Amino acid sequence: MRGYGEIPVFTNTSLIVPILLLAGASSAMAQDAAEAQAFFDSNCVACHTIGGGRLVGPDLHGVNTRQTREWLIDFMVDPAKVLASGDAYAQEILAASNQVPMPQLPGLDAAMAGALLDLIAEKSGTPIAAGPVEEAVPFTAADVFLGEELFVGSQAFMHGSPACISCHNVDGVGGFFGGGNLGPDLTEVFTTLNGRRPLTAWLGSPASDTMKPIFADAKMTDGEINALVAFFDAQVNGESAADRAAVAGTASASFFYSGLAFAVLILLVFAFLWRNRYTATRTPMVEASKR
Amino acid sequence: MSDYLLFAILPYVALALFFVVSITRYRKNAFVFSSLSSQFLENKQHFWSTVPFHYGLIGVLIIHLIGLLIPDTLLWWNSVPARLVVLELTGLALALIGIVGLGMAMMRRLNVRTVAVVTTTSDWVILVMTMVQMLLGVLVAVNHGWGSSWFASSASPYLWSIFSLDPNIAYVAAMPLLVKLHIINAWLIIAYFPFTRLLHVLVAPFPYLWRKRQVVLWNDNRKTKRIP
Repeated sequence: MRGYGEIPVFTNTSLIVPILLLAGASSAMAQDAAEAQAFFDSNCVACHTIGGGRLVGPDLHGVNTRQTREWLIDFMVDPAKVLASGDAYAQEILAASNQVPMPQLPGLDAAMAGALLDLIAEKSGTPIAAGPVEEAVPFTAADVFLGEELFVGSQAFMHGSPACISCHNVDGVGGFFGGGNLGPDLTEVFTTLNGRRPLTAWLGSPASDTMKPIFADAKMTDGEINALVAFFDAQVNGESAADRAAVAGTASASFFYSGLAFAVLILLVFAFLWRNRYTATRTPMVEASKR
Repeated sequence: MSDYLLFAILPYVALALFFVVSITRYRKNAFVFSSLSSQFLENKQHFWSTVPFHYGLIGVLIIHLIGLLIPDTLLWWNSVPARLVVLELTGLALALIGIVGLGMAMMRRLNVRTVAVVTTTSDWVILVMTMVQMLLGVLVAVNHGWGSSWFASSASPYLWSIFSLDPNIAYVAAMPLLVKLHIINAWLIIAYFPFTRLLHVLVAPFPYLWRKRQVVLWNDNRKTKRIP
């Protein structure tokens, strides 16, 4: 393919890049770098920064020095395989990420992994700027309220993203049967995804296989994400967290039995509506024919 | 790769078979374009098979069709949790009466000798395929609830990507196994459809719904002759 396997890793890119530019050999590489940057922006930023601190997954600043390039590419291409092999370092990352495994990303082949590592190496060349830490505006009750409305769908998302409750449950929200269970239970997602900043980043570019195609064309706005994060925060840290209903989770069994009761009711209605079937013509004719 | 085969290639094979074979059979031999009635052969079990089955299946199909054709309206309806639950319970109940009806139909074809005689292999294959499909549907509804919402946002764009000849399997490739099996079996049913009694769906006498009433008269003296 692009043959990144043969390109040595330069950590001191400040020197190398101008040389390549002079040599006029940079166009292909620049294109790959642009591709890698685009891929990073739409896939990786949900869980990773380069020098911006840990989100759900580790900060990738200097990741090239933590493991061999070969190991990193293997892991990026098929994280589940490396995790299943029992690799100690992979387990360590998983534990540090609250047991949230890195998903396998469509389009992330060995060539793209190499290009991404080059990109990360280049960005790691510059030291982390110790800028002022952004002061987060505290959540208000209105944020939490809007978050719940967005979650259950009574407030529609601006760009048409589906309501969270279609696929996710949060204990005590959405009535007796709770939320859907195509996706994971989000009651404690605020804790699982490591708090406000990582969760905000994650929602900005949902990375799971199921959400990705839906949200690619229907991104949530910053305000909507803020409200949702406030809502998820309240589930774990708010007052409602303590007195949450004892019935938790999606009530699959009671949903099934309710449906069954409804079905029996429909059959009884059929039996009633058609109680006189055939009595006008057919039954008398058949009876008469037997005589 | 197998995902691509099952969700991007299979649909086109199924749709091609559906259209080509249906049209060919209609042009060549329009009289096979129906389902052989067995109503006169047995009439008591027949009611409890055909009535719940058809109401159940048609109801469930309509809900699927709404999700496909007007997904935004469906999502609007579901935006109030109580309405979502009403729709989901209705779908589940309809599927369950459909299964009751289909189960009765299968028992009837097994046990009633006269009906068994006119039952072909393709009848059995399509009965089993339909039963599997409805059971899978119920399992999906119960295990991965609120499908009416996620159908509108995941399955609907997938199906439109197929119909617009630009298949995008990303929407379904990550779905749970039960959902995948439900989709695959649906394509298989569409592929097998034109070889079975399901053809009657295409020639259903819908005008019966709005034609004028017909009055049936007997010329004989019913008092003395027919009525006991």
